[in-house]
Amino acid sequence: MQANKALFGLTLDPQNASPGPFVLGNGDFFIEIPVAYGCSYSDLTLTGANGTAMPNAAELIDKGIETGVESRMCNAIKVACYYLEAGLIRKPDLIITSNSCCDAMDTLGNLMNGYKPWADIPKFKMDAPHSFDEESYRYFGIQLRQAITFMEDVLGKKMDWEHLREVCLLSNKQDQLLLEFQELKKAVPCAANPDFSRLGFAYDRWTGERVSFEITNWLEQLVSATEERVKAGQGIEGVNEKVRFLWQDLAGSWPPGLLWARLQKELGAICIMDYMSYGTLTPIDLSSDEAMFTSFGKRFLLEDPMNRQALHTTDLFCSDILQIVKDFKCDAVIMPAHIGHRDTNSRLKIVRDLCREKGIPCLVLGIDIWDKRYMTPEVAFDRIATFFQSTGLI
Amino acid sequence: MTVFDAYILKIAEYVEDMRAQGRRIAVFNVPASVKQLKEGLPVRVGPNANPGIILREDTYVELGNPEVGSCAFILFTDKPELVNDGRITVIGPDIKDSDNKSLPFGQVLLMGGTELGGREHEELKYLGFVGDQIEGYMVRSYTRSIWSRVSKDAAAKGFCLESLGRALMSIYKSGNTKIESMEALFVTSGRGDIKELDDIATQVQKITREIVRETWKIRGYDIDCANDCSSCSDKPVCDDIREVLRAKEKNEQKGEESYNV
Repeated sequence: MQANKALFGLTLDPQNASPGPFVLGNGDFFIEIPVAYGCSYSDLTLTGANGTAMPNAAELIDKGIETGVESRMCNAIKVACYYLEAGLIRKPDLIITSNSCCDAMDTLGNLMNGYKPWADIPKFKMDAPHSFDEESYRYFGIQLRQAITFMEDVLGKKMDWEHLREVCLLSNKQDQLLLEFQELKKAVPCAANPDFSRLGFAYDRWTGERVSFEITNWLEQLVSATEERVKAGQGIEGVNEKVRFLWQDLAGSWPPGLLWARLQKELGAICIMDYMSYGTLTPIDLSSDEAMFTSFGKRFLLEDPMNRQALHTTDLFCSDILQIVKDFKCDAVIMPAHIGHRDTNSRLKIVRDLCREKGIPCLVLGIDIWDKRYMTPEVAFDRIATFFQSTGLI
Repeated sequence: MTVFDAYILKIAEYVEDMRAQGRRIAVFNVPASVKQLKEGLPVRVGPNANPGIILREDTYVELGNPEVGSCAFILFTDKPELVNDGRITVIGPDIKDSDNKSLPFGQVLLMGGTELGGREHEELKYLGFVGDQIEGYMVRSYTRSIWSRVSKDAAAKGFCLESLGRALMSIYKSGNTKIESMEALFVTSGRGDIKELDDIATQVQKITREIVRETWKIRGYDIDCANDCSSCSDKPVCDDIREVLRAKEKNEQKGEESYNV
């Protein structure tokens, strides 16, 4: 409940009421930096995505379409575009954008940078390479370092480097706890709702309490409680676990509550992993400033969901699927094939062929993870149930 | 497959370099056959051998936490004689010497087989997803690193790096009969030593990327091709080539199956 309450802080009005200098971006940024600096950071893509979870989501999405962006664009971005064009976003003190992790977010960044009412706002644009070697991590890390200089110049306040180290240490501790919980999901039956991974990540990175002691306490309690349940051989309360599946995409705004919950309750089908839950987080290296920013760069390019899945090779994408299936004893792979994720969708045949080769049941759905009108939760549930039945999983 | 031969020699040089620097080095020579490898192991090896999770409180030692250093990769060759079959080299403290600490961990597995080629690369990589196959050993592995736990129970039974080497050898040799010789190197001596190994891994990764590229080509995906297939005039030719390659691979597989029967 604590995490869910905090996540409501990511919707429009609380974002606009954020304290302190207000930094706006189009995607993920090293949250340790604004936290250490003492300013608010808002990810407009996320704000748009959260808009699709509101009661008036359909209206917001339709208004997003009216802004004139490309019709097949991800609806989270469409809502973000609407917020921007309608003047609903508080004027930021500075804007930091990058071209990751997808073309839609890049387009949003371009809209923000070209938005006339904000022509006077200082802007910093980062270039994320589509490669994953030391040189790339250093290249991006340097830009993150430059972003700090930019913030200092615009906001007239120097970064407290010692405090940044402390924030990074806390962040590392929280990541270790997230990874610990991830390991606990390997238990059969799964001892706690696996969706806590996704919530934990979101709570840790995106909410107003980001990288705080409250988060550490929450994660410690989550891990300790789950460990007790693993020791006792207990599964999720009220769930008779029969199927474990990998949802290879973002969760979206409606699937966790309206689809996964029903699959769990009625079919004993547990969603073990999705993009956000899959942590491959190596700790921030604090041995030197250069090492710290290079590890920031590595985290951003190789490890952050959905940069990992969208920016990288198909080989890595497939390798992750096979590793998750094996390590977490998944019975099936579900490719949501979200209509806005054309990068993932270009790999559908490859993934299907690979799963067939390895004997892993695989379903391609074709939903919109932000707009449940495209394929309703009832239809999605029926398709998944039929898939489980036809493959003998239930 | 000779592309890794130079790196197999580099690993031998690395070991000698560590020896020259005074590192503690233990060498074990274990049997070659899968059956003998498993005999005398203090823990079970095989599917579901480690059905549970090793909790924090049950951990005797953690290996390869990224905060202390981790590196893992495989090398293989079609010259089995380049690999010392059954040799396990441990540079640094063993599990029982770890004092319940978190040890840096480097793992290099070398394999030789006259029929080992680029096509085996993917399968050999996936054999490394050990999962639950080693009792008392839980692995969390990612690209080029391994982060694992040894349970207190396993340590009490005498599980050590030699055991780990034997377990991995039995898993790999059972999983791919083309492996004729296999050697393992484990490094726990320090972050700096892991970094040197990681520098070799960086070079190896450049080669594996080329192998991956070729593997996808055989599957019918040219990952270098920047054109949209539906608008390309060469699509019929590409489609024909893919069919020929697929048929060739099927025939080769059939030929291997009838040989094995």
